[in-house]
Amino acid sequence: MNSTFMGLEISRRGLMSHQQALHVTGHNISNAENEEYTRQRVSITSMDPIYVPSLSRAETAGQLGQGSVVAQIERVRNSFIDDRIVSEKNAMGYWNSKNDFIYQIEQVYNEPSDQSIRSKMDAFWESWQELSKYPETRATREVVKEKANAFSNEIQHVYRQLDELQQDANRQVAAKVEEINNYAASIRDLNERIMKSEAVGDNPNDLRDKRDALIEKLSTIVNISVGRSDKDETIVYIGSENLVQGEVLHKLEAYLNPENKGFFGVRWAKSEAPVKITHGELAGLVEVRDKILRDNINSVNSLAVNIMDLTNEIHRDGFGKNGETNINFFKEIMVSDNVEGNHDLNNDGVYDVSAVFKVTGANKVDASAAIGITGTLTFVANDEIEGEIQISYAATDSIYDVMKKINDGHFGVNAYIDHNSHLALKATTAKDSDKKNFMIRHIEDSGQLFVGLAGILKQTGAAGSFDYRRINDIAKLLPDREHVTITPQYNPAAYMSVSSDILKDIDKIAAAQGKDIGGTGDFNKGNNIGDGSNSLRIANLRHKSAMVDSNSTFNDFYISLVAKIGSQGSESDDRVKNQETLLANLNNLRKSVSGVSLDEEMSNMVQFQHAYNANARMISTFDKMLETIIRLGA
Amino acid sequence: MNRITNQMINQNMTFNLKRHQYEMDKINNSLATGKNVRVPRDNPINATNQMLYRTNLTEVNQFIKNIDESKSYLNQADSTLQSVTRIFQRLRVLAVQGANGIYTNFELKEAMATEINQLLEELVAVANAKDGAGRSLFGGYMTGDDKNPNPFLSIYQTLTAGNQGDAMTGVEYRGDIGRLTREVSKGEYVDIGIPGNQVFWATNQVLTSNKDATTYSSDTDQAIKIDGVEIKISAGDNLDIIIDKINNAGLAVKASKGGRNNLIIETTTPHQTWLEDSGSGRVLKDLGLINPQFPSPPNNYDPTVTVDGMSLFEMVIRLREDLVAGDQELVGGRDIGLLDMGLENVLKNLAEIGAKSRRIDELAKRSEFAKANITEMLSKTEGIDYAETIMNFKWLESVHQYALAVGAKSIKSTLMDFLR
Repeated sequence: MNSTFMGLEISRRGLMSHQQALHVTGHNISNAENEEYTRQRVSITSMDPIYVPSLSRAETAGQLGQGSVVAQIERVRNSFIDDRIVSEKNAMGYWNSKNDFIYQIEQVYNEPSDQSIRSKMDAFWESWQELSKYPETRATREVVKEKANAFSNEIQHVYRQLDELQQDANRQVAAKVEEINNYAASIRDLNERIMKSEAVGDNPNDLRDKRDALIEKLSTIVNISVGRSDKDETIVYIGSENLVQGEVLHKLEAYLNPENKGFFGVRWAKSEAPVKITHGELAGLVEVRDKILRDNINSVNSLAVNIMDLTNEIHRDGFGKNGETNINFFKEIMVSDNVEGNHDLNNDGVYDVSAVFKVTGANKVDASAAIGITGTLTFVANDEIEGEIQISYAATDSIYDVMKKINDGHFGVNAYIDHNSHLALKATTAKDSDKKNFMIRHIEDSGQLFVGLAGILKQTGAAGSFDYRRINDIAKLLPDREHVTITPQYNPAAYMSVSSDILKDIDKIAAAQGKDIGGTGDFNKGNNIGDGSNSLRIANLRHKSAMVDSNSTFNDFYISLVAKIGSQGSESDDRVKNQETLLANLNNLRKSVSGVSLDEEMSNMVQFQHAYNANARMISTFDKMLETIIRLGA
Repeated sequence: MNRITNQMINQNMTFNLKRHQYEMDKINNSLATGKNVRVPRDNPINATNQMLYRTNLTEVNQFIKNIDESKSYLNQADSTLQSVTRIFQRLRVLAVQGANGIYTNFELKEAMATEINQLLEELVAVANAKDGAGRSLFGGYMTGDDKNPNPFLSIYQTLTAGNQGDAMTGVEYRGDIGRLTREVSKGEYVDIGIPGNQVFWATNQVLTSNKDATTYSSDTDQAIKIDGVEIKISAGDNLDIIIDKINNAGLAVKASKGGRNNLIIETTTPHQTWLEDSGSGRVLKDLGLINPQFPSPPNNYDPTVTVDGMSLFEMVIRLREDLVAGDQELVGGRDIGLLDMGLENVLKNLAEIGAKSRRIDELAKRSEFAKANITEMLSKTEGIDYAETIMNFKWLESVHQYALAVGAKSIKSTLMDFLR
């Protein structure tokens, strides 16, 4: 015997399940433009039928279905596609942040155009050419001063802009770390709520959507991977360390790193171990700040310091209109006030290194003649390891051959022949720390090349070697102080300017050469005022190679700098475009699975509506039937 | 992907539209600026080449400026020396007339001597000529300052003979031997200056030291400079070795040993020998050639040195003296011969200037050609082909239009339009 209201119950259940289906459809439609949303589906199943085989069952044909019920509301999502998108967004973030900064660096250089360092440098060389033709007039001197000013200002400007970009990247690093912490905290909260909800058997679909969206946002910033194997605990890893493990959060911290110019480093807040950042926006920012911008800033510094130094070297040997000599054209600021070149490198108040940038040998050499002596030169590489570099020379080598071996070694020392045919050694930028830029690390000669022939060291062997790690080691160098240049203060490009002597009196610009009267070792009497040959020498620096880090002229060096950033920019542009296309495709794939199709929802809605109407009809039919029975008694 | 949602259609359409607009923006920029590279990343190799061409262009322009200046300088020197030859022609006429025995003392002394004095003044004025910028042409690096405004300084004395009154008795050279060097092409230099003590010299100069140098030996390594070229003297060198080194130095001088073991220096082409000791050296002082009181040239010969040979001015003064003294044989013989020698030297220098001028003309042609070349390369690398670019733009534009039209249709209708 069936219960009286079973029919009503069955239809009521149908009504409820279809109403819920309509609710879910409504939810889907309402979230149709929600980027993070995964469409949800009800799965309507039939309830357990009666009667279960037992002694007390009714004597009718069974089993009778009992209507429908919503078993669960499921979320249509393919986590494989999600993981793919996470890793591609990671790459996208990296290339995007790199691309932005490289584009700005290209803007700073402003090439190819007529208003750049290169055009001002060209004008600078030209002004010296004009001075060489008309050294008596003030007009050409004035032009030299103006062009030098314009050039120095341009270099300062470029340096400042690159520096600002570096500071900007640094600030963004700290900001990104904050963002990571915020997202991680939100993920942790969601983990908690999802876990509680799942514990009672629900499907927290919307919460899961939110969590997946946060994970994606996080992956743009830093290289994460997600462990979903444990249903109770979703783990977010950075490298191999846990960022979020279920309800446990390990925060990151941005700290001021004294080893890296006070820039922000990233470490785990509790253990203070460094974080392995390999990809994502954070990696891009760190690479831009610590590698790309550092290289560019160092290159601009090298350009500045070498132009200043080489010009000053020739200028000091020349004579102004009224016979003044030994005047620097560009302002020189040393890294240390100490006359012996001692410098406090680690800021502990005590001198710890001898900072020498350049040493010019005391003797004139013939660079193409065979030297006729043998021996071995010892240098120290300018990286963290500071390994020893040995260069041997034979009797048949010429000084040009030895110079080539030194310059090709790229270990931080360049050799060249100056305008008086003396051999000079100078330091380049350091590979390990910017504080050690433009410092010669070690000079040693087992034979007479640097000692007797070139006149750089006083003694042979290790006892006569110059090493920067000893203070007062400037005493080991043979030439007098005029021919030893102390390391310039950090970032010469920041303060490159014409010296105040010249700014006050342009007649002091040394256009003329002179001679050494009385054998003082220094030129002390100028030629007459029609001599512009010193000016011509300075103008010819333009064609001199071995100016900076390799055997290239100033122009070549600068052009290759711009070309490098140009090709880096071209590469990152391509990568960003590729990633965009890739992500667009992956997104489409995901939307194809999880997206809401309005047409589909519409047809579903019509379906559910019909079903709802039919169920409602059933209820009214049962209602009429029951009415008949009830009126039987009236 | 069998299932397409509305969002997908929308997003795809906007993605593609963005792409088109990005490309159109790029083309728009290149059409507006006329340049195909805006930032180095657009085409790094092109950008590099452009920078190289630009720099080369400024260099070539500078060389062309230098060439123009050198040309005008040489032209001025040329016309100045032409006046010198004209003065000489007049002097020669006077000398020939004076050698003729028919003139009386009065005519010789008063008339001719007066005219020669005038011509002498003129000669000195020509030698002190200045160029368009007010710089002396023949002073080397001494182009004129407050102390020495002119390279040649006239010395006057009162002469009673021939009632000349204050007449010029000598001309001193106050300039130097600086050769004005100009860079006219990359690594190519031209000296456009000719020092006055070379042009305005008549005969070869012979400097005879009067010091016996038998026991002389250089005590350290030092150096001497003759005509600006440095000659190294090693410790222990004696007179013979020094003479050898001087002769092998490739200079226009010849050294020899005199009968009294003294050093004799003779020029092989007419000019004034420029002697100095380098640095702290004492060789020439010890050999008795340089005055230890005034060791810097010019006018630094030791008073005991016998100087033979004369400048153009000294030669004209000699002619005047001979005329006033009435010595017709000397005038007709030696003086005319000297005049001819002097003229020959001036003509030789004139020829040298002419040759330099022609070389510079050649260089000018070469530089103009190079400039045209570089300008062409520059415009090829940095300019855009307008026709091609506009065609690309048109194509892009029509693709964009189609995309918009089709996209609009596909995002419009949904099922809802058809449900009641």
